[in-house]
Amino acid sequence: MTISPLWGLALLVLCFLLRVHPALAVSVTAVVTGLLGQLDVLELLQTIGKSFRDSRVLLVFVLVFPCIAALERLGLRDYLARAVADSKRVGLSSVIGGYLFVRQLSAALGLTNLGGHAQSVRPLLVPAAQAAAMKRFGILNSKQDQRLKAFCAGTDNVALFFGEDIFLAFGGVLLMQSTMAQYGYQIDPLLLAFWSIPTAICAFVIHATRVARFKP
Amino acid sequence: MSLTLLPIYLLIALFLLTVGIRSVRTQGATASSFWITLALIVASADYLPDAWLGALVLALGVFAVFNKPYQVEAAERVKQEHEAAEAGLRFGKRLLWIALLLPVLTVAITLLLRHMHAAGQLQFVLTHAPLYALCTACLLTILVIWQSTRFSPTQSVLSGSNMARQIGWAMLLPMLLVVLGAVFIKAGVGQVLADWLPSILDVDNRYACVALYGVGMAMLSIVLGNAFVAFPVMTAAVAVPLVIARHGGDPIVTAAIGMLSGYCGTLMSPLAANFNLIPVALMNLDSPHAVIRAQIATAVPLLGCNIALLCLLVYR
Repeated sequence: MTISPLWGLALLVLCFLLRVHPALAVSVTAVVTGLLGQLDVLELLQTIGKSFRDSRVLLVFVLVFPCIAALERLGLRDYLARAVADSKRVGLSSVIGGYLFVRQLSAALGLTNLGGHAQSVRPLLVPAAQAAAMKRFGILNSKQDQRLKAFCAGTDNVALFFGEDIFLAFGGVLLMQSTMAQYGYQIDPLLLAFWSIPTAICAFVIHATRVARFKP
Repeated sequence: MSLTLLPIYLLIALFLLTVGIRSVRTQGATASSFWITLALIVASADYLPDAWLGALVLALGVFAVFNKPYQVEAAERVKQEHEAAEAGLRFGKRLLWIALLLPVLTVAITLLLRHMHAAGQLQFVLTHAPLYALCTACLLTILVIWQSTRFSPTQSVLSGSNMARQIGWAMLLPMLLVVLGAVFIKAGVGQVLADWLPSILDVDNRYACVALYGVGMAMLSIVLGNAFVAFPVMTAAVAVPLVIARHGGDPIVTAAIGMLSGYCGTLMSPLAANFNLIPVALMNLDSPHAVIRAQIATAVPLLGCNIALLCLLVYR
């Protein structure tokens, strides 16, 4: 009797519920799913090795760390917090909302490297948002501060996800194109990008509404 | 002249090696073995046989369990914050310009490389241009920081290594998820799912099929932590056989909005390391799910919008 490899999915969910360490859970699920899918051990290891080799370039973002960490040690966050606190016009929703707009638009133009959690959220957006929040709500307690930081990080994700799909050379567009080509559907990337626009608009409207109503 | 990704890998490996050596003293040998193994396989993956590399990756998945994210000691942190506040008064606006220099340089170098590629002066895979650009921009920015503030490159790299240690094992997760996706595809999970679905769903209802695709993309992205991994699986299982072949849906709209439904799932996935876990580590949040909680109220209504858009647009 063969067991369906779909049980791999159930295993992953179970690991999460049992609070197994995520790295271990994913590794174990990969092995179990592969074996249930009738791959032999050598084939499984080869699949793992090959896909790791092609994906390790994802680590490139660590090269940004020295620059950002140095700027933080040199007081970038303090400078920004002071600048926002001194300004009369800059409020909390204009800081986060402005970031949402610029980040989503620049991602749509293919400039995804313009921001990120290490590059822009931690050193730029968070100190600016904290200073703006303090002008309106006074000193934040730890819980409010954490909510504010998490909301800033979420804003970056939403802006990135629903902006980058509009850009033609984005990896996701290429993945869709190559997957559909396997089934004989030739897809024009221009049209893929075009049909991402309605969702991008919905995402902006929904998140901008939340930004306007956000209280830490 | 032609370029490969090797210099980038070596640079990453060198940085990870620094992180590993730095963490021997503070976190012990098990934690640092994670970083050092990671550094070695990033540098040497092109020369290792697939199966060996696969075994090392699995070993790394086990090492990861012992790599607790590291925090700078409280006293040291207070001292650093004090110094930063003082330096911030001195350097002021200059720091903001340098922070903006990094992305601007990245974009400028990307454009320059594309131009050189088009002119035939430099051969490389065109989609790699932003990677070379990011590396070069980082190196240049470190030099600019050195020149304008006397904060040396060594100091920059050491400060950066603390940031990496703060993230810890979560750094490995994005690659492990790609690996998991590759195994899922190789094991034929999409096909199995396609055979199983007709038994639980009315496949003659074309709106049910397209809604299933959207919701399924979101659910699978939550479980697998990555919409890119869910996409080939759900496309094989639902989009191609049911939505497109059976009911004549538009493949372009199906793929585009299906992927975006998957992103709504990624916003809610506890495995999405790059997006939901790394910011938790970078900003010292107490709960590993803090970012997900901040995103749910955007992700759920947006998924609803996507399903509505799919139903409206796929069968135009």
